[in-house]
Amino acid sequence: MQGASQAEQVYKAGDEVPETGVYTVRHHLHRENHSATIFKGERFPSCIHCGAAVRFVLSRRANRILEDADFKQDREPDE
Amino acid sequence: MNEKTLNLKKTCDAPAGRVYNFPHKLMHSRKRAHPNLELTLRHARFQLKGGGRSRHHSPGLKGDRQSFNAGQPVIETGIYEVLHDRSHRSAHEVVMLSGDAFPPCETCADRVRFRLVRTAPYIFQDEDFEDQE
Repeated sequence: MQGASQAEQVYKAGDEVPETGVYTVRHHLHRENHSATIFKGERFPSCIHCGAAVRFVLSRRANRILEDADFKQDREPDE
Repeated sequence: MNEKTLNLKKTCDAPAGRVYNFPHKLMHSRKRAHPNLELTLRHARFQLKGGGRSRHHSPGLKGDRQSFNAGQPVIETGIYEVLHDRSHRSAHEVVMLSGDAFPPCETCADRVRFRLVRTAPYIFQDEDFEDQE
């Protein structure tokens, strides 16, 4: 599957996000697993209910569009 | 009474409860009465979510495969398949945030198309994680 991680790497709150993509969020008891988009370079956040017990697993990797060579919009406008 | 007449009689003697008359035309006309109902409901659900925050975000893969053009607003955060014009580049996937606009491609400009693959709200738009950004 395109973008799927080979081995399941589990991240916890405070870890640096290694890849932009959709992560499965695993809470401790209070809520079922759900998906969330998280960006590379951010820190995995803690949950307001289960705190640092929350875990994250990369489900599908994909680059943010502005990081893509065909869509970069950070060039200075022509004068 | 010959054999042909007997067969016809047997058919006519069938119990009344076994004869069904399906109103095909009526059913089709009901569908046409609300051609945009699904689209209307989809937009209604989106508006109810409010600001992109959702505890019960629609999960998983999308089957309708609606495509979007450059310049259109991104309605749902998630992964989109990017389809370039004239195959100058093969299809690839990107993450798009709701509220942004689908951008033009530097090579095929406005002819690029985007198709929703999978929705997933931005983590800080989720009510269990918001206000931590």
